[in-house]
Amino acid sequence: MDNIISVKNVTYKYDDGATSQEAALEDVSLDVKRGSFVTVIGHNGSGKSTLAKHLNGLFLPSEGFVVVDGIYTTDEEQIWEIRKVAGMVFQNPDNQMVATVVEEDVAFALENIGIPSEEIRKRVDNALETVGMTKFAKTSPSHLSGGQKQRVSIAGVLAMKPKVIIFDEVTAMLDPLGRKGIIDTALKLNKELGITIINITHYMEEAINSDEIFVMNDGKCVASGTPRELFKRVDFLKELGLTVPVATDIAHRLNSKGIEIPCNLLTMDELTEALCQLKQKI
Amino acid sequence: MLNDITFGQFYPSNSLVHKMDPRFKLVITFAFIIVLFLINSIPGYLTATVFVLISIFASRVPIKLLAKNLKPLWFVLIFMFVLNVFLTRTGNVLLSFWVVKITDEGLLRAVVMLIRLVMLIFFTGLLTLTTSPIQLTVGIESLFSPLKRIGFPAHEMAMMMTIALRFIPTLIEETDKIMKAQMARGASFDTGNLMQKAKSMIPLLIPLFVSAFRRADELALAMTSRCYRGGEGRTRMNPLKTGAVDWIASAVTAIFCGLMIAIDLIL
Amino acid sequence: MSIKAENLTYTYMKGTPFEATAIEDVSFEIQDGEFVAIIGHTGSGKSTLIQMLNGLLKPTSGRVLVDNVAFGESKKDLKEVRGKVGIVFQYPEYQLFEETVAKDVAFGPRNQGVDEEEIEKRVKNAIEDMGLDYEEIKDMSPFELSGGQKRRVAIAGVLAMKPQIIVFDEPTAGLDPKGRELLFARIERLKTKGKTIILVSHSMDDVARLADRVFVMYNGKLAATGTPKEIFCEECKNYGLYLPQITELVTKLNGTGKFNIDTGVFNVEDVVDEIIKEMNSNA
Repeated sequence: MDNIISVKNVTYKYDDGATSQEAALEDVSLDVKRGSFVTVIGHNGSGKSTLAKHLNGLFLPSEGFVVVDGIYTTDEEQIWEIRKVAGMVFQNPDNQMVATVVEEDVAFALENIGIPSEEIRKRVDNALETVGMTKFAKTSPSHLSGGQKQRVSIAGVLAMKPKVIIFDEVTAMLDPLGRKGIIDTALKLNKELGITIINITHYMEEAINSDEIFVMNDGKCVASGTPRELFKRVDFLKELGLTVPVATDIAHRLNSKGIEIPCNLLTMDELTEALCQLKQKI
Repeated sequence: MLNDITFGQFYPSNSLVHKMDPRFKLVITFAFIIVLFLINSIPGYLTATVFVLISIFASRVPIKLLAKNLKPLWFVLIFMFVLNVFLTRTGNVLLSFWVVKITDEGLLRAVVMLIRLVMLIFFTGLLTLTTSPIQLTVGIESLFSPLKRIGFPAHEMAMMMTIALRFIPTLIEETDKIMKAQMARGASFDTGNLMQKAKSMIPLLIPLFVSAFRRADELALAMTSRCYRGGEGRTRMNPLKTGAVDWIASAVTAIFCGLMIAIDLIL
Repeated sequence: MSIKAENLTYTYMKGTPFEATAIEDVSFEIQDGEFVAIIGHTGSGKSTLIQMLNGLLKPTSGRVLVDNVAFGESKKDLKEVRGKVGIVFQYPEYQLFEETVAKDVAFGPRNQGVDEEEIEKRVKNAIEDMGLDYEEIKDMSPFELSGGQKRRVAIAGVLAMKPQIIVFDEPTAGLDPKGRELLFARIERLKTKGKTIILVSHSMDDVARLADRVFVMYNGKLAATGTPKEIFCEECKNYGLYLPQITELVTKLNGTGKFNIDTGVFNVEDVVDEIIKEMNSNA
């Protein structure tokens, strides 16, 4: 598998730190494999959102470079190509919808890149169907729930036929039901359409199903690995102000109290099974 | 609820008027208003009334909805009527007491003015009731686009209108939330004199502005990320289409406008 | 201080075609010093309900009694009740507006007509109750603070009014795990100081861990009340809610027939102890 996104030694500083809310980056390097589902975790202010905005050229590195599908984000002539390849959904559901009707909003990006009308119609209908929002096509965004708005925003990006979609803390403002809907949609896009997903979040449960996790802290990428490899390091993550999935936490505590159970369990089902087996042995 | 203010105006239907090209509707409305102000006689206005009634019938908008638009303006209407009745001094005196003289010409002028204003309100109301805000903005953008050559920002203006329409409900909701939060902290927004009232708005206005700027920032980033780069090379999902109904409507309008002017000139 | 709701009903846009009943015949009583959580999916009427508790919304019918006294609509009554029942809304940092942190926190007590000396004392206490350094931040602009700090300053603004009953609407929304943990620790401390706490939350894990009693709102009605142990069973799924993760584990373990763990356990530490006990009991 080749890399769809490569971040090499990226440093990002502000000229005038006082006005900006974003964290800086320091020498960040990471690769995202084509077709994978990747999660970036880190506490607020760790630089994870700044990193996200580098992945489709919204921010440009002060040092180092970012390559998206073979194009450098500093290549001004191809910046719109990059944004077509790497779509982005943001945190606040209200602040990323432009139009007063759902389907018009989904069409927004396509109108911007000059797709012919009939093609726009087809793609908009398809995108709305993929995210399960077809029956709201003619609705005003102000009548939708947060989770529904986010699904419309995903459709708006999906219609561009991107190869990567970056979810920049998309679930942070949603209730559990809305959050689940978004994560299920993201998994579906990854598994069924083969779109690479980069999910930036601080909900560890969202990370369980990913292929690889990157941990950000103080503007640096301090660790990476599969969920099983990474969540084993409970103490390390807690030191960074992060948590691990509850099942992993319990397994880890049991382990430290002498119960011989693997520390790399991720779900309650796995934990239940492991405990039952152990009890049988006793 | 409050949310519906901007969208409540549009009355969805499948009528011929709804299907018309918004550009034609804008031009027709504009032309009709001009003629409406050109003519002066009662028969001319009766003709205009017939035209408005035909339009309403074709749009299938309940007349009650249109009449609602008169409600906030009743004071202006009565004021104009009274002004015309009492201040016209020419013509045959019908009634006279103290300093007041009511003349036949004054009465006629008052009635003409009343019909003119009511027709104006009905016809422009019909435009907004049968045209969604989006279509309206697209129409305006398209009509003004020839002026782009002399530097008129037609697309930017339309985009601003769209975003404003989109964010009005959001900001109304936000205003309500911040007001409630400050009221829970003991603030009151309706006590004291004008000065105190103005001062009491600060805890509402500052958070509202801060939030509006934050929203603007985030929206700009989201739009850039979705490849927005101005009107150049943009396409439309629903491009404006001109059909037979638009030309027929224009012809009917032209006939009626001609008729109105002709009747006015002859009589 | 106790708070009591008697047959509360709230209808939006009464007498118009848009009429909608948000709250229907809700009655409850919360005792002094209790920690009550209100749960229910989005749109179940939680936020309408809490706004009636300090008169921000006037019930269409029914009444609220604070400390056994009903309050009316007069300015005096409302001022008094808002001093007793504080509400921390979702994302309270959006209500910050003053030049300095201290001035912003003083806004509430100043509206109450408290004298300057007392205001300063209250502001200091409230900021420290939220775990922030008063001297360090009092002269800073609230807009310079980090997201989590802003949130806590905004909450201090409510605490400075010295309410005996504090309503928190989703206080940890948008915070990271560390921020959530810190804030909940502060809220728990308020309870130990004798405040009555009402928490509206979507996080069943936190609710189960913190609350003495849980109210379930469903379609504008109070569908169930009880201790976390009584509420978090299979039945709560009927209300569109899910089980706390620990409860899910305990249910799964007990379901295998090999374990028998108390379903009233909601802490990670406690469940670990219970599992160890179970493991050793057979051995």
